[in-house]
Amino acid sequence: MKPLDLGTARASTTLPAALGGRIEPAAGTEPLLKVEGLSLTRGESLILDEVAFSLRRGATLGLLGESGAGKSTIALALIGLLRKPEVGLSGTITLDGEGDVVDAPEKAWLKLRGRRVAMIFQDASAALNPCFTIGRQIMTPLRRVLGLGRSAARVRAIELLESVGLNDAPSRLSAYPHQLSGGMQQRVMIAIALSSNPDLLLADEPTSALDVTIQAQIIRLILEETRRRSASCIFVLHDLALASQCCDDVVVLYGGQVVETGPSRIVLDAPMHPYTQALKGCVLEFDTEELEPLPSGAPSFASKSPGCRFADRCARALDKCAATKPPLVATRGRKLACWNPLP
Amino acid sequence: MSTAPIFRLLDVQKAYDVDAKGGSLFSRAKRRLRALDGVRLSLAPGESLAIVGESGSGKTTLLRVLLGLTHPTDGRALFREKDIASLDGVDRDRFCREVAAIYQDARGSLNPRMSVLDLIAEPLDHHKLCTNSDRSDRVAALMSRVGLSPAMMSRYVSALSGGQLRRIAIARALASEPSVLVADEAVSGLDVSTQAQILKLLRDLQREMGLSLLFITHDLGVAAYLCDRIAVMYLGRVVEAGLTREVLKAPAHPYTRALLNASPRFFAPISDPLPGEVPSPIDLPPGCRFAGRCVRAQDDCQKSEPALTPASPTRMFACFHPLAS
Repeated sequence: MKPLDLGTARASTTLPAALGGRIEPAAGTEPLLKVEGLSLTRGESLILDEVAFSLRRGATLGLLGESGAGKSTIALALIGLLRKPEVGLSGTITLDGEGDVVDAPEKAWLKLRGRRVAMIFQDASAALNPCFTIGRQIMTPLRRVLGLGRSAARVRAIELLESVGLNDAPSRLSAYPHQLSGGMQQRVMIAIALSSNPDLLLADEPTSALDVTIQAQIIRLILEETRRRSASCIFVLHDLALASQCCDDVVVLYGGQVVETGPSRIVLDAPMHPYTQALKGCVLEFDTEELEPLPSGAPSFASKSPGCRFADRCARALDKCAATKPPLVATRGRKLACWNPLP
Repeated sequence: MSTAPIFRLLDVQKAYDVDAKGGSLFSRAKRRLRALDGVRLSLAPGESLAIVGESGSGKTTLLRVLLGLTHPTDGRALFREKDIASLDGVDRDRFCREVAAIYQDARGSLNPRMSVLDLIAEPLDHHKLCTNSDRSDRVAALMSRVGLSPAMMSRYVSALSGGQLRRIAIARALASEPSVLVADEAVSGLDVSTQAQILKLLRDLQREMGLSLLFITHDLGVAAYLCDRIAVMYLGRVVEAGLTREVLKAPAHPYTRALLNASPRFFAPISDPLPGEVPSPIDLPPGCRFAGRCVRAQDDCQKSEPALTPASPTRMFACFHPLAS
């Protein structure tokens, strides 16, 4: 178990980001998480196809794509809710200090989940239990995971709620989730996820149910809190503009295949894969005059289809695209899987 | 086509009486919740207007007033210069035919026990717009108009994706040959790629059919793409209104500025977010409603409420200390 370091961390709360600058991570070079050849099969379908990426300690990574791309499936695999015996999962997930956890039994996961890896779910109102008070839901992991006593857990819970910007924290402990607004509920979820100082925080569309001003508050809060703890964070997002603001690296997924990955400043600034470009073209900024939406369509997950899954929606598709799957190769500062990339 | 406005709201107020908090279970004490407070808007034929604001700003109450589902407690809501609340007979039928709504939750607004054919034909049947023999032809034409294959006609809601459902909701709205489309967050909750398709469809339909469009959204990017005019609401009041291009280029009200800053933009730093949340609309303090979260608030903002005043023929805002353009 990791020691509590909130006390010392709290002293250094003046982040440059609080002054309005971009939150630059103090990223180390050692990888915290390495995912290699992660595949998931269900019957004849290949839901994830050889997904690979790595995450440095203290860095943020964005999993991007439309619904059905496999973003949330990857997040579930990373927190051990999809494991080998139950589903057709193969490949390796190497968590620093734990080795390959893709095979780890539930007993081992009970020691990892919440302690080293924690998750913020998309819909806070559904993830919080409506029958229990906020205080009980935040104190239960503190007592069970960290072994704190009742009064120590209460003190810590108040500290956590204050650190996520909930005013009047002591009286909020006795509130039920329905008494809080959506933004407040999401703050409580973040406090619960951070309660045991995880190394890796998974945020699955943490702001898609919130207003834009609250979204900015929540994203900043997640970045500040993870940075203060030198934790890493994986965001699952579909908004590329938001990803460019909060992720150091991005992984663009289509139909369970990684199509383009690399530093967000390179990939999102000048996408080379037609799919990344198309997604970028769907983002509305205030001066957007014309939209060029992708044609409708969904990827085929059939494991037998040999080619690029994006080929039938792609305007640049060649004959060979449907026949052979392009390999993920390093190209101009990123990794790209495309036979006919944009110049 | 006359240029008289289709909708006109004259200082519309909608207040609800809610139980006083903290009182006894049997207490009769009530407090006033002003969901809309003095809203003044108009929508001319062929015009597109976006109503923008966060949750709790009164956007949906405004939509309900426009559709005649709730009646204002004060002020007047007019459709073609007649009170929506007292429309009857021929006027009421005309109102129902001319004003079509697209609701936020497409899945929830479509009856799961009706086939796509029946769903789209329901307005045709109601207004007796077609004979039995050309019913399915009309529906097929509407479906192709919104980019759906007529082969889907016999399917049910449960077998369709979110994007397809939005298209059906749009086809159903177009069935009665309306002159106004009123849409409440019609693209929220969709993938960016599907959202782009639906937005393009709505804009094309609006331009080709000369429809008036009133679009409620919380996304300024959507408002900018779809609408010529914009009205920004905060806690039941319009705080700034004008041509979308002008307002977004140089917002005068600090709240509009804050909304703009909070919208994601490529590689822009995440700005200092607005502090706090939208306060409760019950028993609001005197003065400007935004003063508690406003960086430019001064003493006079706490004392009296700024009125929505025209700054130019195309621009209005309600602020004592507007941002210089």
